[in-house]
Amino acid sequence: MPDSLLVVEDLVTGYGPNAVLKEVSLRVDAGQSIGILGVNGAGKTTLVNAIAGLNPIWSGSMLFRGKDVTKVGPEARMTMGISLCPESRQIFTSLTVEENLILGATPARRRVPPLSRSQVRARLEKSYNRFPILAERRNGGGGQLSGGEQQMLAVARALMSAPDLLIVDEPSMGLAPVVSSKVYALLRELKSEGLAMIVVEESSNRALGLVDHCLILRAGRVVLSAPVEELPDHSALVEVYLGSTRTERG
Amino acid sequence: MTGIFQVFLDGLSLGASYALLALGLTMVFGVLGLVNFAYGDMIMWTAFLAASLWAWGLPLIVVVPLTIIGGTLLSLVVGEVVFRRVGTQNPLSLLLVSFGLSLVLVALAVQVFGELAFVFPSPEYLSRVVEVGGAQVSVLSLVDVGVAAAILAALFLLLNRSELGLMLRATAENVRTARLMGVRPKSMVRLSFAISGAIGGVIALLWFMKVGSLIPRSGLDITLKAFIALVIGGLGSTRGAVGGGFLLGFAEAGLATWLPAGWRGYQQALAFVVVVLLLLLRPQGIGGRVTDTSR
Repeated sequence: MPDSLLVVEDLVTGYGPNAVLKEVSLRVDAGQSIGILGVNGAGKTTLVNAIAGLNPIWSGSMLFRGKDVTKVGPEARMTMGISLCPESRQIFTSLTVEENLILGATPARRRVPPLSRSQVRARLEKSYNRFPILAERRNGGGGQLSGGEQQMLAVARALMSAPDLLIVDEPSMGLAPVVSSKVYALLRELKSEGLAMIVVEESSNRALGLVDHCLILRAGRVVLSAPVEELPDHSALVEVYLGSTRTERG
Repeated sequence: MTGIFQVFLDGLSLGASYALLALGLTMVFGVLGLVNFAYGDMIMWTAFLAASLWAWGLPLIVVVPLTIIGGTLLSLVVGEVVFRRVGTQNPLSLLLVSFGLSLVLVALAVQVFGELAFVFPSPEYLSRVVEVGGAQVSVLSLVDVGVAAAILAALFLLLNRSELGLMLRATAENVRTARLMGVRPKSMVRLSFAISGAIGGVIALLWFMKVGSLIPRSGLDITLKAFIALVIGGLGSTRGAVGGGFLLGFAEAGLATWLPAGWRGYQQALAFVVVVLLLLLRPQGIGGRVTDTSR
C-alpha cells in the first residue's frame, strides 16, 4: 500500500449548529489526484476548507504525512505542505501580481529549513516561466486580471509554497470553456510532475479526465468513492449526480 | 503671498499631527475593522506618562523613547486584554467596547490625576519662532512636520517594501485568504496595535507640547480629529488617512486666517462643514474606493 499523504476519517463539520459534512472519509496518496464532485450545496467547499483548516473539524480525524493535524490551524497546515486555491480565487486585489506571488511563499519561509529570499526569487522566476502572462502583469494590481489570469495567479501563488498537496476549488468556475481548458492543461502538467491534488468541481467531465480517484458528495455524505477506471459508465454517474440534484431541489 | 505661505506652513504643521493621528487609527481599522474611539484617551494616558517622566527630572532624550515604548505597551495591552476578548467578528461590538474603554480610561485618569489641567512641559527651544520664507513658524511646528515625514517614510517602507508589510496588507484585505498564505492574524493584529501605539506615543509628545496643558478629557478632541481625518481620507486607506489629515489641517489653518474675526469661534464647526461637503461630493473619502456590490 502506498504511503498516504492525507487521511481523513469520519470528518464532521458545519456552520453554527448545522452539520454540513457527515462522517466523510478520504485518502490521498503521494502523487495521486482526487476529484471531489457534487452539486451546489453538497459540501465540497466545506470539505476542502476543513482540510485546509479554515473550517474547524467537529469530530473525526485528519492525518497529513502521518501527523495528526485535526486541531491544527490553517497557517500551520500550509506550512506543513498543504496549499489551497480557494473558491473564487480570492486574489488580493490591493496587492500587485508579484506581491500576491511572494505572499504565497510565506508558508515555505516558515518551514525548517526556511526558503531563503534567493530561493523565493528563483520560484518567482519559475512561476513567470510557467505563466508568461503573469510576468507581463507582475506590477499590475491583482484585481486587474481577467478571470482566467486570476485563476492562473491563484494556482501560481499556491505553488510558491512548494506544496505536497495542492487543493483547487472549482478551477473552471466562471471561466470560458477555452480558458477552462488552459487551466486543466496546467493541472495535468502539475499532475505529470507528481504533485498530489484534490480538485473540486460541480461539472464532472473535465475533472474525470484529470483525476485518478473520484469522490461524489451528496448532502454532506460520500455517496461514491472509486478509482476513475472503476467508475460506472458516465450515464450511471450522472444518475447518481442528478439524483442528488432532484433530491436536494425537490 | 506671505499670508498664503503662512497658512500653508500652519496647515502643514497641523496636518502633520492629524495625518499621524489618522494613520494610528487606520492601522488598527485596516486589520481589525475597528474604529477605536478610545485612541485619543490612550494618547492622553501616554501623555500623562510623558509628563510624569518629565516631572521626575528625566531628560528629553530619555522621555521620548520611554513615552513611545509606553504608548506601544498600552496599545498592546488594550488590544490583547480588551479587544481580543470580544473577537474580530462583530465590528459593532468592537466599536461599543471602544466607547466603553474611552469612558473607563477618562474616569481612571480623573481618579488618578484629578480634573485640573496639568502643564505639559516642553523644552524652551521648541517654542522659539523662526522665519521661513517671510512666514513665522515655531521650531516645534517644524519638528512636527519632520517627525511626521520620517514616520510616513518608515511606514511606507514597512508596508510596501517588507514581507511583514505585505502580510499586514493582505490581512487587512482578506483575513481568511491571508491565513491560507501562512499569515497568523493574531500576530498581525498585535503588530497593528503596536504600530498604532507607537504613533500614539509620538503624538502624545508633539500634540501636548503644542497645546501646553493636559486634562483627562483631552482625548476626545484628539479622537474627533483623527476620526474626521480618517473619514475624509476613506476608512482603511493609509494614503487617504494622510491626505485626510493634511486636508483637515489646511482647512483649519485657512479658516483661522481668513474667517472674519467674529466667525473665528466657529472655525472648527466650519471645518466640519467642509468635511460634510467633501463627503457629499465623494462619499468614499479621498483615498477610499467605491465598493462594487455587483461582483
